[in-house]
Amino acid sequence: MERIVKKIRQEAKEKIERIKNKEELEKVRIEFLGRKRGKITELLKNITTLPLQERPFAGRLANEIKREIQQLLDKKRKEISSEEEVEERVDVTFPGRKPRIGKLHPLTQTTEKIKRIFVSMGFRVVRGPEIETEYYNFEALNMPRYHPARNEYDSFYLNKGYLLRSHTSPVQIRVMEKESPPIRIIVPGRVYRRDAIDASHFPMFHQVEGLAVDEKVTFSDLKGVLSSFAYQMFGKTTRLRFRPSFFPFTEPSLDLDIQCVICQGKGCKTCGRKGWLEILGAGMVDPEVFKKVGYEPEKYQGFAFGMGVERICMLKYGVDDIRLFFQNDLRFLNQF
Amino acid sequence: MKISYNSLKRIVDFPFSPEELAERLNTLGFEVKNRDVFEEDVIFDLEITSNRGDCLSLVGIAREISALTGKSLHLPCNDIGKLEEKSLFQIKIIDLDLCSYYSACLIKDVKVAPSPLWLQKKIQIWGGKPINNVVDITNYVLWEMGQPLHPFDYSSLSGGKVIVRRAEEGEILITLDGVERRLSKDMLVIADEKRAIALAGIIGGRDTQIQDYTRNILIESAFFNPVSVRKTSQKMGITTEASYRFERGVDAWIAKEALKRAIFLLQKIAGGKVAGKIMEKGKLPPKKRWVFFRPSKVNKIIGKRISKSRIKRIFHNLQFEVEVKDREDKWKISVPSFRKDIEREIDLIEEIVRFYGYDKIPVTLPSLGKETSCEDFKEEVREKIREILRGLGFYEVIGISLEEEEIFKKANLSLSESVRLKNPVSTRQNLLSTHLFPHLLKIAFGNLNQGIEELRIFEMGNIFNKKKDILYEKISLSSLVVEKEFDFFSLKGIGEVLLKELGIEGVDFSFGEYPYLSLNEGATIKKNDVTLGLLGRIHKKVAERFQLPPYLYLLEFNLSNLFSFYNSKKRVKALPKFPFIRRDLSLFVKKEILTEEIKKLIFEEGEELEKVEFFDLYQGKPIPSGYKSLTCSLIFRAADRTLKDEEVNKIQEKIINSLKEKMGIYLRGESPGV
Repeated sequence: MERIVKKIRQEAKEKIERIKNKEELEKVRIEFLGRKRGKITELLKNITTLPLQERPFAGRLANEIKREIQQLLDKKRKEISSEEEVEERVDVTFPGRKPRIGKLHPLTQTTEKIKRIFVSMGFRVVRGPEIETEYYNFEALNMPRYHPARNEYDSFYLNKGYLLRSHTSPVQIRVMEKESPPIRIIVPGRVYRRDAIDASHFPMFHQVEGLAVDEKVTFSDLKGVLSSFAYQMFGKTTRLRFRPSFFPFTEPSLDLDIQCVICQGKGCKTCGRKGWLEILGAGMVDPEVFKKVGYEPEKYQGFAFGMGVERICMLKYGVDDIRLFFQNDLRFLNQF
Repeated sequence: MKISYNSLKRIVDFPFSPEELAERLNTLGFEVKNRDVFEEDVIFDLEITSNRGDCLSLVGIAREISALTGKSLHLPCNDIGKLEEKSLFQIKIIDLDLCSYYSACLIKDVKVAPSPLWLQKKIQIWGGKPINNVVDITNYVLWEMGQPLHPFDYSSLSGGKVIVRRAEEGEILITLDGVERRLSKDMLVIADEKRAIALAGIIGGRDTQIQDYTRNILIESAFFNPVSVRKTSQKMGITTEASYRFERGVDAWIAKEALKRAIFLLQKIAGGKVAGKIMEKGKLPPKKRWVFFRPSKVNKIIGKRISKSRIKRIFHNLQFEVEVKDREDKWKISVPSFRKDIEREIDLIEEIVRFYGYDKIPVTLPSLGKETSCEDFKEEVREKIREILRGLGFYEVIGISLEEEEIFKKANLSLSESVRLKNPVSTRQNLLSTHLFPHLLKIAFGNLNQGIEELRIFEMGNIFNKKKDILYEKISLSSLVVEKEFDFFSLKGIGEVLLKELGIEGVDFSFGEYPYLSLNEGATIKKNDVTLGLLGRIHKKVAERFQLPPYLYLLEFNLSNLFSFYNSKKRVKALPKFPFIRRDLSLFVKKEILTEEIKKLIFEEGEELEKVEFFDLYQGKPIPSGYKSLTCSLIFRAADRTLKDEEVNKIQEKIINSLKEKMGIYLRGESPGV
């Protein structure tokens, strides 16, 4: 019995191996598993002729080989049909079934890009609270109560002198109070100002703040870091312009302009016919700020910068209305 | 501030075309916001930063151009000759702390009339409205020299006295704009013997304004305390050209010069005659102050060596005197009184770079030093969550954290812990968000309205609340699914995947009741009794109020708590060496028994049990009421050998018996008498 089984197995294997198409496959199937004359069917029938004690063993052997051949045939069937499928061309222009994939908000994508650029220059990401005190939001940044520069930071007030931060700069103070130089951080986050809503103003927006303090960080380093950022963000051929500016917490201060991305400097609606677009403000940390956090202004120096994420994103992608970011229309989000 | 190219050219000589001038102004820090051609002239609209009050005039800008070119200034003529030594009125300064200097002059027989055309044009260029020759002249001088002046109708002043004092509490003054203003005692006023006649440095009074019939005028030119002017202007809600300049610091030394200029013009244009001398009270500040300066510090801060001779030339052109002390690295620089922004060495350094040229400073990168950027793990968690959700088909949205009361009510949220803005722009945004999901519901509504049928969105942002007057700020992650073929367990699966990816294991889900979630489909997510988040189907009523369909699912996490359980220290386990055996059991379970309890029992009984997974939860026909059916697959595996069927059979039997005895659970097919 065992010998017969072995022989059938061998024979079946070879024959199945040689099968080329469906017809041959059917022939081989009938030869072995055919209900009337199939070799296995015969074998099973023969079991009844064996002595009683041998029957269970023989039965198992026969069933095993039956299963085995069935499996080999199934496998071969799959092979054949997959080969045949290739012969029938599909309409490749029919649209694919798309798996769902989401999108990150354009402001997040922009923030992440800014983060990556500065992280590659050795900056570390820090975040701070959105509810702030007057001290961190203004006073420690060299903006006492009746400083005219406060005009530009019209804030929302909460009870007990708390307010919603109107810029991310308070985090500079929080970090310097806790750590000693060298410091190199960037601070992404939401800020709030009492602006009436229009195409370029929204009461909440996003900033990324930067701060580097050490014994020898210079103004030319500031120019270097910001240039590198602008080139990575807007392309290597972008023209840059550093203009003197004023912030109470930096001295000297600057504004960085890039040549208008729309008109290439000729002057258009986007740049207000100026040919240049302001992308960020920066400067050397004012010694008064160092005094406030207990740093020795003669020993340490450094720079700080701040930029609006919405503005960068609007310039980079040609978004002309800030409100689009907060409407969250999927048809808008899908374009980034 | 608007500057005329031609007017500027009359005061200071420069070789620049209008385009070149615009470029120079930009590089000096006066951004040209706009440039307009007006007749034969070019008008520049300049952005003057708040530290440069001295540049809020034609002369101020001319001084900067002069510092750039080294050419001298030709100041506007104010030669009024010698005046009579008479004094026909008196000045009395009571509050010297708020007004340190006050000058005035009486001019008689003025003919009030419209200004000549040239003056009207100048006023228009500057952006003002011509009124009459007297007012126009004072405005013109303000624009030209930066000193606010104020003309009073002398005949309406009583007592021949000008008094500078704090207002009385509740004192009334009707200002030029016709508004009746109630003053308080921290405000400075100009008064005659009877009443206040002007809000000092901000706006004049209506009763003493120049009328067509005015003959005699008193012109004031004074120096008012910047902080006091700002406080009053903020309190009263009025900003004027005068207050704007006083806030930013006007040079007290220019007051008298400007007054003379106005007299000069009045004599020429309005035919007035000066009656008596210019009356002055108070004290002028020192004409210059000394600031120490080390040339070596320039290189240290800027990173560029600038020659000492160049530095000296820059200072000289700025009208700063340089005193080189014995040791060469310690200079003494005198700064004229009009440069209020320069008090320290660093301010002098700024002037050097500004005139040296920001564009000529080299571009370098700071050396890395000891500070290395080690990415904060919290940023890593944020990024990871965003990527996972994005991969699961979620769109990230960003909503504003300011809300209106209505939304709280619609979302079944309590207002008692909400934080209110003291000075909102509108009542539609006067509360800080206590939850993110109401935004998400609004956003979902907006998108469904645009024809999108299903969506997955999430937001990561701060939420705020107040408990016993203490403000709390938390970072929250909120995600919303609007999908027809979705249910509680699809949602739970998303939560489980997210937690697993963050390395947070051993998390418990338990029934949770939230006013905005369906009572039957709401759960709390906890680990070690710390609440991580919640999930469930949005309450039908809430969905209706937001005009959304009922298939609306919410999954929220407290991000701060995820941060604290985040585990990035994954260690790889060796893969199992021996094969597994799988057994599926279909169970009939009493409804109230929780899957988690069954799982626990199976693990207690099951030796060599690696994993239990549940699926096919079903309630309803043909399952008898009070029961549910579920299937679990048991994966058995031993660490040290290949398990045998018989061995697993025994364990399986033990589990089945125990389920039967302890929980009344039966295998499907051997139903519990039903």
